[in-house]
Amino acid sequence: MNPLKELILNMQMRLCCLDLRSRLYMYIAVLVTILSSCICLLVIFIDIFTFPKDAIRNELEKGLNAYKSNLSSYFSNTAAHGIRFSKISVYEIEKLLEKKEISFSEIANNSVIIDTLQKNIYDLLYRSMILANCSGAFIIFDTTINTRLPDAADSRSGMYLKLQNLRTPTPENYEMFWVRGIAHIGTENGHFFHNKWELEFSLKKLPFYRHLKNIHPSHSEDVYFVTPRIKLPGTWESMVFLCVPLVGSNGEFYGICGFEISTMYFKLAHKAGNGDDECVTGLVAHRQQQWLLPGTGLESGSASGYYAGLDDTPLRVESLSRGLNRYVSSNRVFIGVESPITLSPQPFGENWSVAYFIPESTYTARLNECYIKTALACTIFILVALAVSYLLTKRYVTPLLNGIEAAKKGAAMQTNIVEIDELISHLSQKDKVNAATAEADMSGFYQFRENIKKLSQAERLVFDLYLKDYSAQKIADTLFISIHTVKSHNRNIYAKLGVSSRKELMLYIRMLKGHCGEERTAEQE
Amino acid sequence: MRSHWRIVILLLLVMTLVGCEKPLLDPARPVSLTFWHVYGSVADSPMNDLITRFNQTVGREKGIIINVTSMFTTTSIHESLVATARARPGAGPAPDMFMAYPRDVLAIGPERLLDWRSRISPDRLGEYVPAFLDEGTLDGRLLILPIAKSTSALFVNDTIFEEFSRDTGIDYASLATWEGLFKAAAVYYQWSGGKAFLKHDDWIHYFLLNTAALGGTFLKDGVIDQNDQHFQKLWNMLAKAAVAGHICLMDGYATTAMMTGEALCGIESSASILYYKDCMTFPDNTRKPLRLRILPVPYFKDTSPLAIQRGSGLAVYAGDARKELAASIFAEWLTETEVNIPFVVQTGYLPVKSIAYEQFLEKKQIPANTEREKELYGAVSEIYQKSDFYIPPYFPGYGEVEKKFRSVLRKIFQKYRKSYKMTQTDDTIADTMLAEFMANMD
Repeated sequence: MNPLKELILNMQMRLCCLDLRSRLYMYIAVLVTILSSCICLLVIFIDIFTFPKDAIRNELEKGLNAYKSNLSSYFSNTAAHGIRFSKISVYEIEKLLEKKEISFSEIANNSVIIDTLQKNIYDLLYRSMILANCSGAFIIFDTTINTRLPDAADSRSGMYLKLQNLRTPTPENYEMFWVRGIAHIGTENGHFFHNKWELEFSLKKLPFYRHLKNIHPSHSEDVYFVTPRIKLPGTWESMVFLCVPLVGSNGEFYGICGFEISTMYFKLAHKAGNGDDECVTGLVAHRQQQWLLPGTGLESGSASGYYAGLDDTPLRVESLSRGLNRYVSSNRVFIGVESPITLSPQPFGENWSVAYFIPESTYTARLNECYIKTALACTIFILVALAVSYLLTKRYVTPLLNGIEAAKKGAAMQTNIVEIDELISHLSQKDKVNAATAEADMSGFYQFRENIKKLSQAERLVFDLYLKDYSAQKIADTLFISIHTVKSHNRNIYAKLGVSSRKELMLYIRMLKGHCGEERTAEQE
Repeated sequence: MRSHWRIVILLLLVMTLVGCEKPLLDPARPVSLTFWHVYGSVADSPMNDLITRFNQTVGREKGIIINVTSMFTTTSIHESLVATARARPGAGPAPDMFMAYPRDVLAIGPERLLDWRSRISPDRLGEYVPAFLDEGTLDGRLLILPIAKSTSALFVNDTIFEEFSRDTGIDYASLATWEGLFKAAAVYYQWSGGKAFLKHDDWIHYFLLNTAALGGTFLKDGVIDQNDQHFQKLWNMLAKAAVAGHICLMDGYATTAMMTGEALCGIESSASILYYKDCMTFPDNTRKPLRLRILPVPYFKDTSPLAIQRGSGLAVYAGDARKELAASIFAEWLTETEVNIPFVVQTGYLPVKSIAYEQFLEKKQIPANTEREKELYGAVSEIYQKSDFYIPPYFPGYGEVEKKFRSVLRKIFQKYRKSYKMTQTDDTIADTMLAEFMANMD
């Protein structure tokens, strides 16, 4: 036989033999087990143990930590490449100055020296850019090719390369625009000219340049500076620059160099979260009191392709409960978390902050979804509980009712509940005994009624008074006889009627009264 | 009693199903579409401005975000699309939407793209200029939806040309024909002390348009027909000018050559207007203002002017119903007359819906703000009124032919320009160059 069937049969047999307490216990246990299982499944399904807001906060905090860690590491590595770029550039500058036996200040207006300087450093610029994993690289020399021009005080010679197509910064597609620098150097190296190409940099558009120029030489070691976001004039592009000063061995300021991280590059290279985070935004920007300033920093969307595309409008930060913040601009609201981050060392350590948020509409929708799921789960739970209770009750009560119904009809029916079956059996036996007893009692009564005829006249007078519920003394008084005589009659009456005591006599008398009553009623009817 | 239970269970099921069926677009969970486009890659981008506007209005209301993840040339987009389609190392993910020419569609597989007819009603499609829709239809499927069409134009540095004209008597009317232009180029070379006159971004268009205008054949079964007499005529004129230094052979675009003073004029897409600076910069860092004069592309004498119909259209990868719907909403919004006309005027394109197109040509309510926009708009509307359309051919492999043509032509011209000696007869050198060119094209 199939072992499973055997087991089921075995269980069924055991079940038949269970007493009432065990059976009830078993049913409740089954009920509890089923309902608990349902609860467990629902809990796993909707994660009800974690309050929805906490769950969202935990998710955002987890994302923030990963995002911040990635950014810290990226900016640190880029800074290291920048410092190396600066040191080698300084070496190249001093080597040229030594060879030409001139000072740095003497190269202004000397187009030949400036041309040579750019040629000598071009390869370094190109290699540094590829190594640093960024969208552009630049070097600005603190000199100009033509001091006679009206804007010469703000014009600085240098080179600036940037990726042409940010989408695929792979070795295969590392074509670059020549954005600043001597035209023929760009052409000879096969670069397309950026449409906004200029020969030199304008310091009017680079306010951070003078910050770095004013550093005291003793503090120039490992100094770098991450600028707030700057718009490339005449284009849609904006970017932050990581700048490192070019400080000579004698402390002379030669200029700056560094890397460009464009907004487009950043959003492609530093996705916030993973693909599951549908609408998450990561933002690294300046924080000023209760304001977060997207216009100063860089933003990225999620790997799923979502990108909020924040404009420059400051976001007002409002603290919510459970560690969440609300970021409000004139027309958009986000919910998220935030943490400070250090991008530049002192003295340029601006108040940068990393925020990680989702649109408020998404936040609300997620909460609502959770609440709806909970309500739905509760409803299903209640429905299941009701259904199970109904089935169990039906299964438990039906045999009982059937047994009782059968018992009423006098049929013997097995309920498979030991106590109930025993009770029915007991009641049945008792009915039989009662019936036999009753039959026996009635034959004595009939004999008693027949024997009344055997009483003498005097005994009949006494008996009739007993019928009227007279006591012995009252009978004696009524018949003007002594109590002894009454007792003598009593003995004769007992003997003739076949009763052994006054109690038995009175029982028969009550039966006689009832019987006579019934007979009279029957006659009247 | 039993029937009551059934009704209750049925109601619960219906309620559950109704509750589970979500709409395709949900503002609380917006769908993001990555987009590669070509409008203003290294300049101010009116397309980016429009996308921002869309995202903040219709997109926010309906739950759509357009996310620009690449902006560059159509050639670059073509190469990147092919790389993603072939899953080449480092190619990265394909975009959801991109600007495409038929050559791109053929290269990545038309079956992978959305047929716009399945998302845009026939009534709405009926509003577009039929010729523009035809260009994007392959095997009866509308795979490229026109957003804005362009043509080529001759951009002249008016600042220098004014001086040149004053000294030599050559005026703008001389540039109406190729014969006049090549003559002006030779005079300019002498006048400027050895500078090139013209930079053409796509010399293949010179051959395509002019062989067609002259009644010849340029590409026969996908291969250059070097025996065509008209092709030989075009080749000889160009080769002689190039080797003599009258044509600018530097890499890059005409805009670059003009802003560094390397060339006096350039033939390029009318959309290049976005990329012009307002000054030229010279090696000593001095600058001169760059005034532009925009003219129709020259044609050969005794032929009718032909205008090349350029301008990529919008293509979408098929398969995701949400993204398809979102893309169709975006595309319809982008081509609404009120949105489309300001965009095309800023960017040097033509609107794509019949009403807007007529309004454009009839110069009604055109919001041209700057002098350059007015100049360009005047030139483009004149080109379309006086010229016939010419649509470049497309066949599998056309993109490769175009790319190879461009690179081989430049290489041959640069090589012979370096070794050019005045003692050689021009005809001999042109023949030699053609032979080498054809050998490299095989």
